[in-house]
Amino acid sequence: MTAKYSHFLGCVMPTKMPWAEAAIMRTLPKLGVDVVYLERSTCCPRAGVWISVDRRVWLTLASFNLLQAEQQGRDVLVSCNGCYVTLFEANKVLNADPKALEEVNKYLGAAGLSYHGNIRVRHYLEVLYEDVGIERIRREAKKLTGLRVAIHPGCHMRIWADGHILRYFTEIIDALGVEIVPYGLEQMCCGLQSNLADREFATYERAKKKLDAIQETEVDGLVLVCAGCYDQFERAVSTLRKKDNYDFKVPVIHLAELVAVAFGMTPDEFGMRYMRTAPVDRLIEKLERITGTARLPAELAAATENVPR
Amino acid sequence: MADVIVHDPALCTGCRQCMTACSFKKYGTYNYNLSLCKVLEDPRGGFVRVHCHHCTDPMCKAACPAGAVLKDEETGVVTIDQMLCVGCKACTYACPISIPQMGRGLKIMVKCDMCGGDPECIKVCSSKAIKLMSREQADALVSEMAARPFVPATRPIAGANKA
Amino acid sequence: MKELYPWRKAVKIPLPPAVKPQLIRHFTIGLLYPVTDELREAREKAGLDPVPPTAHRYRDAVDDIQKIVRAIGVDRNVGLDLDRMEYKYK
Ligand code: SF4
Ligand code: SF4
Ligand code: SF4
Repeated sequence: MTAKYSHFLGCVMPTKMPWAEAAIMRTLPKLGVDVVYLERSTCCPRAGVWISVDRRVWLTLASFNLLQAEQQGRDVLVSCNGCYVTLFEANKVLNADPKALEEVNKYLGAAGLSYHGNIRVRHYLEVLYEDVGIERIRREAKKLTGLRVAIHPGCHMRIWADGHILRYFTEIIDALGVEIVPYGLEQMCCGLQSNLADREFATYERAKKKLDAIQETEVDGLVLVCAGCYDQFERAVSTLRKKDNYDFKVPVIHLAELVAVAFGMTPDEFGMRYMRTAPVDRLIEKLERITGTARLPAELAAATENVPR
Repeated sequence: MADVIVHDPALCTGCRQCMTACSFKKYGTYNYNLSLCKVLEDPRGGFVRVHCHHCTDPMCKAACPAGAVLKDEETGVVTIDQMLCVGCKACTYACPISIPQMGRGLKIMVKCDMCGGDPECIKVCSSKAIKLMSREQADALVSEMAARPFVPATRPIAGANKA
Repeated sequence: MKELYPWRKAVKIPLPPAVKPQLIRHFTIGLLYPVTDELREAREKAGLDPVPPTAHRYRDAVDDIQKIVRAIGVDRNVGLDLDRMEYKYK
């Protein structure tokens, strides 16, 4: 596959998860994926809100982001489930409905721009699983055996009836040798959307219930890929800490960080220590212990040698 | 007969996006109390969604003393005529799932009207847990859902935890 | 106003209240969250450019967005004054 990607950052990742951004932007090239930043990007914007308020705004502002990639002659890579749904669905509508595309271009014309709908929008997990290849990840990733995590897939990962992105998520974690510990509330929403209607409900009925169940399993981390969910968990954790002295000790981490470590980066190379919801020192220690002691069979070591560093 | 909404608890994440979309469509704001559909916690785990089924033989209509509840023979949609309703709540008590609720402002009952055939709630459901389908399809799906063993939506995800 | 026209209802804008402040941020900086000093530092430690290559760096993207929003006319529909970045009605 020689697909070329522009990475759409969205609102949360560049401002709250620099470690995830760095991990993605540095690991993907190592895995042979041609990726650059999607520059001049703005809020995706939130499809859930704009579909009800004014559909034209959703389609037009989404195309404003998509056309930056189109101008670069690249496909869009998205790692936030929310941005993925917004951009993917907008792209689908604009491809299927020439009238909508025409209307969008009328508005984009006000800024001297236009969009043609000639690109694809792909999820970070699709790129990892399909382009890089799950087999290659299974073969070449340094196994993070002994690491136990809880997962939060998120709502918007479920737009496909065949559930393939959801499956990719667990299979990739599996391929890294990480153990997924069930906590019973995996499918429940993080509560981000509820914030707009009822903040108490979002924090206590959604986020806190998940956090409680996760805390009980004593896992090393909570793994997600969605920046929107991260935003909600971060807000909930800090609200609960201030209001109720509730301490959530499990670090919330992005799948890209595990991928980065499994492909030979050290946690400090992508700034894993800073801007966290909970201290990650124990997790980093554990990761270093695992990668430091894990000895690769000779042929596996040879295979990883060929990965460009 | 037109389509009905079917909710599949096995897919629902409880995000309540459908509820905010409904209250926005009807009242221009995000307010769970005003939403005409409700997503509630199933005590066994997971979520159930309570929404009007636009019954073939509606109890709400049978109970209404003012003749305000109308069933459109063509589309099958059950609505409440705002000019005829006297706000006695008989429909709420008669409905097996208490769908009609007191509206904000006028003291009369309101209920789901299928958004005139283009349900707003379905457009925003990312997990595709609510679908619009014909009554025959809905019957088949619901029997299938009733036949499958109860798996709370909060089950661990298949394929996980093989390690 | 209320004293002069006691029966007049306040204008209600078709926008969920919780979204209002978010829209202002969206249309002034292009994204929901600003770049803070803490963030610059953390980004540098992660080996990234302190200011992300989003609308944070390219201010003209915000101008474009504003032009587009004006062309659609949503700013008028929701009663948002884009020049002063405040809502005309409460
Ligand atoms: S939008 Fe869909 S997934 Fe979310 S609560 Fe409603 S039915 Fe469930
Ligand atoms: S309000 Fe209740 S009784 Fe009436 S049509 Fe709807 S579900 Fe049936
Ligand atoms: S069809 Fe319309 S009125 Fe009925 S629950 Fe959905 S959004 Fe509400």
